[in-house]
Order: sequence, then C-alpha cells, then structure tokens
Amino acid sequence: MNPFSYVPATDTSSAVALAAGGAKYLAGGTNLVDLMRQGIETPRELVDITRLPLADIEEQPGGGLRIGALVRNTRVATDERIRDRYPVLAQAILNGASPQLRNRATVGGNLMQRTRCGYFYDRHSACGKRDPGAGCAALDGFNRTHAILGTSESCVSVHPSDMCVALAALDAVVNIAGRDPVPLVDFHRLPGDTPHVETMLAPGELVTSIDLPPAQPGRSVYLKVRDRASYAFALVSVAAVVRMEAGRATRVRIALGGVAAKPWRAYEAEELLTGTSLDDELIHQAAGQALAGSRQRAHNAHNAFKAELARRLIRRALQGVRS
Amino acid sequence: MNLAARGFTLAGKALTRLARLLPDGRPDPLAHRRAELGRPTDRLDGRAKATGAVRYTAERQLPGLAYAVVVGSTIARGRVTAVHVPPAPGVLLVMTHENAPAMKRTPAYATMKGPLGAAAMSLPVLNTDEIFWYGQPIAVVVAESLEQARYAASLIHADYEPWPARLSMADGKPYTPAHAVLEEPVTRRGDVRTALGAATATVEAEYTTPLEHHNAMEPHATVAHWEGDRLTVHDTAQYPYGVKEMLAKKFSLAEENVRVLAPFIGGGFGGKTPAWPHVWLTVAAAKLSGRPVKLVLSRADVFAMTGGRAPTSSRVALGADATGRLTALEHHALAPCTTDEFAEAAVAASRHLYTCPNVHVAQQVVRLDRIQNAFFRGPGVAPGSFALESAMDELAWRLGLDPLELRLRNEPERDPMSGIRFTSRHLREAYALGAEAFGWSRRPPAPRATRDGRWLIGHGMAAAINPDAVLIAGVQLRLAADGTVTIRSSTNELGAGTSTAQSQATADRLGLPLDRIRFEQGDSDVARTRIPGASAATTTLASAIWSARDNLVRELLKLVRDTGSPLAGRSFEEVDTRAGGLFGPSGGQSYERILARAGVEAVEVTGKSALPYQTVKRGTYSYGAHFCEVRVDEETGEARVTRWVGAFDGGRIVNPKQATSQMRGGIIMGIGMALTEETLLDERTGLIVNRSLADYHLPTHADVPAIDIHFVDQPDPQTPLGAKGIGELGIVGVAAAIANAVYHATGERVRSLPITPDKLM
Repeated sequence: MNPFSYVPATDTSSAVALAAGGAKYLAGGTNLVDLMRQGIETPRELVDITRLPLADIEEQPGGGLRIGALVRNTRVATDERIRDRYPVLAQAILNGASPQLRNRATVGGNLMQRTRCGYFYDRHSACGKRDPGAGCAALDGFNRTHAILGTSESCVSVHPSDMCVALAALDAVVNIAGRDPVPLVDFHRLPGDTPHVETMLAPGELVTSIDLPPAQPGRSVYLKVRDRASYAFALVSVAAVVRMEAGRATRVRIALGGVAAKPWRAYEAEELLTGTSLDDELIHQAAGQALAGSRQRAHNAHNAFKAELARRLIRRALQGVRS
Repeated sequence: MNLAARGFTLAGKALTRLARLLPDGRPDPLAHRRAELGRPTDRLDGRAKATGAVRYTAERQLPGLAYAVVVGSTIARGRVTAVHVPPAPGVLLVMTHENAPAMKRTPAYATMKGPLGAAAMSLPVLNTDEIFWYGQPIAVVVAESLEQARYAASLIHADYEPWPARLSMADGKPYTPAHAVLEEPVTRRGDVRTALGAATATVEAEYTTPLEHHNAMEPHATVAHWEGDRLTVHDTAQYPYGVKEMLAKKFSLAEENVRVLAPFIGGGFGGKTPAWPHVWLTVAAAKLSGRPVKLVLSRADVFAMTGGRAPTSSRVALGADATGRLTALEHHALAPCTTDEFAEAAVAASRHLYTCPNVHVAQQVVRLDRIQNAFFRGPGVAPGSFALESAMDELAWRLGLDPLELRLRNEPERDPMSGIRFTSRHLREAYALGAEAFGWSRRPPAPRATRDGRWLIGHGMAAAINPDAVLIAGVQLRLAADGTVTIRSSTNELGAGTSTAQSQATADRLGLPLDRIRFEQGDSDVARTRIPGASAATTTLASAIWSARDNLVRELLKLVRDTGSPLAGRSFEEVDTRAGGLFGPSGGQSYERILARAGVEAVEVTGKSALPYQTVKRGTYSYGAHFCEVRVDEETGEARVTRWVGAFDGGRIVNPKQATSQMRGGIIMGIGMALTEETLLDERTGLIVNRSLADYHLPTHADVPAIDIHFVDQPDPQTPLGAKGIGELGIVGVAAAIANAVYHATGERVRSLPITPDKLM
C-alpha cells in the first residue's frame, strides 16, 4: 500500500471539492482497500465520505424510493419497503458477498466496485484496465468466469455486482452530485478500446443516491449460479421482473449478471416477450435472442458454457414469474 | 536412483525383513483399561483459544522487533540480472542474492535424500541469481513497521534474463522417480493385460485432480531472534525438531544453539511439515539486520512461496470376472515434480485396498519449473483414491453389482501386494456401520431415478484407507510433590487436539484424573521428535509417554526403598500405576505420599517411543467407508452435498468428540476437493491467478451438510492405546464418493476434479 493522506469530508460539496485534485472516495472500503493493498489502486489522497448525509432510504413523491449512496448493503436488503416492493433487489444483495462484507459495503461502493479478474489484480500481468493499451492476459488465460457479451480484444472482464443486476431490471436511476441523473443501465461502460474507463463518471464526481421508480405490480426473481453455495461471484445471474395483465405480459425486464462488464439488459428479448402470454416456445426464443451476440474465443474459451447457462437461467426465471 | 536413495530403500527393505522375524509386541493394556480415554472430553485448550489467550507465532512480540516482507520473482525460470531498490522510509535492510549470508544447502525433506531436517527444498534461494519458480523470493525487506516493509517491497522490481520454463505437464518427459512418497514407485504382479483381455467386465479411464493449496487458517509465520550465536525461532512449523536441525546445518551452528518454538499452530495439513525458504530467509535477515525479525506470509505469498498438492493424472484399468472378483488392477499415475523429486504417490490406495491376482501400479513424474510440492492431508492417497474408487464404481455399474457388494467381494485377508498380515482391518464392519446408518440398501438401483423439483438426487459411496505410522518421539515427564504431572514434548498442537488426547492417555497411564495432567508442547529442545505429520502424533506420543511411565515407576521404586512402604523391595513387574499412585501385591501409596516420604519436590524422567517394528512387520492402515447424498441441478450443473455418513476403523478411539471433529474436517476438505478447489496456475508464466480466499473456493458452511460419523472402535492389538492414526483418513475417498453420487443422480461420469457446474450442464 502506498503512503496516502486521509481527509474526512463533512458535506457533499466539500467532498467533491477535495476530490477534484485526484483523491479517491472511501466509503465501506471493501474493494478499494483490497485494491490498495495489492498496489492496483494507488491514490495519494482518500476522502472519507462516510459522514455525509447520504445514508437514508427515503420515500419519493409518486411512490418510488431513494437509496442514499452510503446505505449499507445489509440495510437495503432488510428494509421492509424494499422487501415488499422490490424483492428482487433484496434477493440479489443477499446472494452476494458474505454477511460481513454486506454489513460494511455501501450501495455506492457496490456500484463502483471493480472487476475481480485475477490478471487485473496482478500488477505484473498485462491488463488494459490498469495500463491502457497493455492488452489482456485473460484473453488466452484463465477466462472461465469472464465476459461473453460486449467484450473487446482489450478486455473480457465482468462487473461482479449482484445488486446492479437487479437495479438494471428495476429501471433504477443513479443520482450524481452536480449533474443530471443517469439511468443505471447507462452508468457502466463496455470496455471497447478504453477498458480503464468503467463508468460515465468524470474523475471526482460523486454518486449521491439511487432512485427506484414506483414499484410495478407483478412478479420478480433473482437467480444466481456460482461455484459454491455462498460467497462466490456469479458465473451467471438473471433478474427478471414481469407484469402480467389478463394473461399478457405488459412489462418485461430481463437483466443478466456475470456475462459482461456491466449489468446486461436483454432488450430484444424483452421486446419479443412483451404483449405475449410468455409461452414456453417464446421464452425459448427470447432466451436465445438474449445471448445472440455472445462471443467466446475459439481456441481458449473456458467460459463457453456461460451462454447456454444464461439461456437456461433466463427460461427458468421467466417460467417462474409468468404465473 | 542416486546412492542415498538406494541406501534408504535397501535399509528399509532390510528392516522390514528383520522385523518379520521378531515376536509381536505386548498389547497395550490401555486399549481396554480406560477411564479418561474414550471419553468425549472437551479440548483442554478450547477456552484459551476461543478467548484469544493462546499466542500464535504471528502474534509474538519481542523488544526491538523489525518486520519483514518477501518479494517474489515474476518469471518462472532464468536469472535475476538486477534488483532495483528505490528508497523508502523505515527500511533497515533489503536482502538479495548479492548480500544474503551464505546458507548451506540442505536436502529436501520429502525426497528421502534428507530424512533429517525439514527444508522443503534443496535450492539455494537468495544464494544464487537463478530463478526456479514464479514467486521465488528475490528480496527480503526489513523495516521498522510492517506497513513500511510492505510499501518498500511494493517498490522493488527486478530485471531478468528469462529462460524457457517447463510449466505444463506436457513440457517434460515422464520418468520413474527414485522414490514415491511412502512406497516404491512401481509394483507389478501377474499379467494385467492378459487378465484384462479375459475379464467379463472392464473399465479403463483417466482421472485427474488439480493443483490444490492447503489454506490453513493461519498463514506461515516466522520470528527469528539471535543472541550471539544462539538462535531462537518461533515458527508455524509442524515439525519443530526438523526445523531446528535444518537451521543448525544452514547456519553452521551447534544444534544445542538453535531452539524452535511452535506450541500452537493454526492448522497445517502438511503445508507446514517442511520449512519453506521464508523460514531460513527470516533467520538470515535477522542475522544481517542485527534485529529480531518477524515475517508473516500474506495469503498470496502462501500460494506462491509454499507448495501445494501436486496435480495428478491417473490411468486406471480394472477387470473382473462374472462373480465380481477383480482379476486385473492397473493404476498408472503421473504428477509433476521439481529438481527435488517429490512424487505424489497417487497409486498407494491401489496397492492395499483390494485383493487381485494381477496388479501393475506405477508412479511417474514430470520435472517442471514450479515450486516443490508439499505433503497435503492424505498425500497421494487422497487424489489416487479418487481414481481408484471412481473406477470401482464404474466397474460395479458394468457388472450390475451394488458398489458396496463389489468392494465386499474383493476385501483382502492379507495385505494384497506383500502377503503379510494386517495388525487389524475392520473395513467390513465400517462398511456395515455406514451402510446401515445411511440406509444404503434402500438406494434406488438405477441412475437418474430420483428427482425433487429441479434437483436430481444420487447416492454414492467409496472406501477410505490411510497408512498408519508410529514414528519417533521423546517426552519429559515431571511428577510434582502435589501429585500433578507435566508432560513436555517437541510436538505441537496443530488444532486437532493432540494435547487433550495425550493428557487423557497420561491420566490413564498413571491412574490419575485428567485435571492433574498438564501437557506442554512445541519446544524443539525437549527431545528429538520426528512427527512431521502422517497422522502419527497420537500413537507415537502415547508410546513415548508409556516409556516415561515405566521410567517413572523405576524411579519411584528407588525412592521407596528404605521407607517402610508396602512397595519397598517390589520389582518393576510387580507394581502398577493406578488409583492415583503405585500399587503392588501388598498395597501401595499415592504419588504424593511417595514423594513426601522421600522428601523430594519432584521426579523427572524421560521417555522414548518404542521402535515400531510391529507395524513394519504387519500392514497397519486405518480404514473407512463414505456414504453421501448429492443433489444436482440438471440445468445449471450445480452440485450440492446434502447428507453424509462416514464410518471408520481408527482402532480404539481416544476421544470420540475430537475424533468426530477430525473426521468431519477431513470430509469437508474432501468436499472442497470434489466440488470447488483448484489452484489456477497460468502455464504461460507460472503465475497463480486465484491466490486469495475469495477466488480459491474452499467450502463455506452453506456447502457442508450434516455429517454423521461412526467408529468401529476396535483396538489394534499392535499399536499404543490400540489406536490408529485418523488425521488424514477422513479426506480419503470423499471426492470419489461425491463423483459416484453425481453419476447416480445424473448418469454423468465426471473424471476430472473439481466437479464445477460447467462440467455437469
């Protein structure tokens, strides 16, 4: 870990002013501190934002909820309003990390967490996220847990969050200090030629809260497949939110985790299913559609199974929520 | 085969031949006469551990202590041409190959070339510019604080002249090593190929297990402290006496000037049996810096700078006649090794589990540029039994025979390869106990026959076997005037409950209640003790304590000589230790009274373990049978273990509570081996990619079902306490039982571990 200075911030505007000079925000620290220990993040200055007044879950006019960026993951998952109105979010959070980490980690930090790719975590391996233009050791290395959608030759890493997959399916919106809100699905960026640019935040910008639009009647589910029963990142996960009216799906949201550098919305599959009775054949077709763009390297695709796993998981999720 | 290795082989064979001529030993009366033994006593150090009173190595504080961090190489083979050391605050020393003191090369412990001393490898780490594996220490930074040492280490970088590295099993030519762990590498009897041709049913398949790391909760740590030419080392060593010998040789010190202290270890599993280079580098850094130095490996360093269980590949061929009797058994195993040959002897179980007229087992190795392999709970036996016990299951299906029945039909009366008798073998009883508790007979006969919603349910079983060894130990016994007894030993408390078990054994040996016994461990200076692991602590220490008890009796008889005691004039054979004292045909006296009458404060004696020729003369193994239920989600490929019954023959059980925990621990480790654990070593570079507990998947509580443990609990007539080693037994066979249950659930046979979802989709 490099030497750094530490400044606690007392209000949002002073935090943003402090960070303008290149400081990193410190909240739960469950990812940033790990990365500093590995020498992957080397900030000269940390601005501790845990005292900012961003730790509440508030009712919004019109029926939505605003979740402050500093609300701990556990609190979100156990909040009665979240459990009643957005159960898919509570499920997703409880499927992630461990109780200790969830107690510590914040909503903003969950959004901002970086990939767990083993080569990203090793300073001596080629990684375009750490060293723009350096290439990607995972392309021909251990890539069993890596992305199959939206990849590029410079990066095949995945965004590790469970929470964000549910937020994507809920049409959540990210509030940022001093600028217009951004839909969660636009918040994270695909790697392209700039894998080091992971979100649309400019340096020093601060996420203040996440808005959940008013809950829609209907059913939802979060399904996650992982290598062990607890404390493992998703191989593939699916959040599905469906509203059925008179036997027809009037609203369908499908988001995938573990397949891309961002929570992945399956828009074409949603469109295909909207207005239908979600019969098996259509679900099958939609699941295929969702993965139509998936890519694996021909000669070293440890992650080739993910496309079929995602299709199966989408089918299971939709069959579960349609009734 | 080099000369030294040949020498050991010949000596071993001669000893075996000689031992067969000797009479059987006297059975230990404590196999039957038990008061404290056999009780499910809570571990005596449990409270101290749970409340943080026990100090582990990494917690040692010394005046003037400095902190060390190791920098590892980032190539697998080649030369360091320059080490760049940018200035950093608080740094006291940066030790590289250019300024490290000369450390004598000592042979690698596990290779049999150097059975004494505990060095994990013979390589001259930091006394050469040559690089032998990725992560090899190239510099040790010593600083005033741990943070300063870490920061300085993060700035250090090296230039290399890289050489081609052999990192994949395909990079080398397989050959037969001089030694495989425990036994000779090749055994052949009869004609396997002809027998396979004539067999009614055959199986021929290849099974693989991956590189794995122990991941003991406590990382490796060393604290070294010089006073002139006297060296004191606190270390996480499983084998303190071996570390003492090794350090004395490396630094040209008299052995009595080196003391190694390792009373409490936070788990070892074989990973702390040999000393890895950081141990002697810490000692060198303390010497060079003139300060006491503490080094605690980070979790990532543990992956890079200590060895793991070698990956194995096993080709197994089995043949049976129509009645289910084995007619052919072939097991050819391949594992990597380094310059120091350490062959993970994956064929061991295939020699001793089943009777078969035609057998060919052979262990080969490929020399690679990786770190030396380590012992790992059930070395060789655990990965090899995955192959054998999976193949037995496949054979049972081909024969249309219950897999348990197939095993019963091939249960040997004598040790199959040597024809010598067993000291005891109660595997049939273990099968029966386990099958009954599990309800094995109610298992649906066909695969894919049971479903619960999205889960397919299967049942599987496998046998377990592990060689039992009584090794060498010495103890000191002190009987105080108040009738309390202190036993001191160089062996340590790994977490398995050795100190509690030995306190129970001492209590019964002397006829005292448990609360009068104190067991102190982990000081290399107590006595020469060679228990590096091998599930041998319980019986070996019990043997040494038995001998100490005999010496105590002799001393007490001297004390009572002229005291008018009813014991006066009695011979050693006439008296017994029981009921809190010494008793003869015409009465006895309490220990307190004997000492009071003689006017002495205490009596101190030593004891040495007996030469274990009984177990050389005959085959001594511990046995077990695993039965499990596994659920597989057919669509996602997730496999979850939902029920477990293990039944074991570990001789007489010393402490059923601890023994049960020990078996559960082995089974949980086996569940990890079966379903989740794999060290990902990038064969392009040698880098281990998943070197953290988030990425290396040990089983979590959610992966572990209720585990029901049963013991046959029959004494072995030839071993101390009638007990047999059980530390490693629990893991053996677990992976095969799970793979067999997965097959029963799904009809899919997975022959490569771990059985991850992608292999079952």
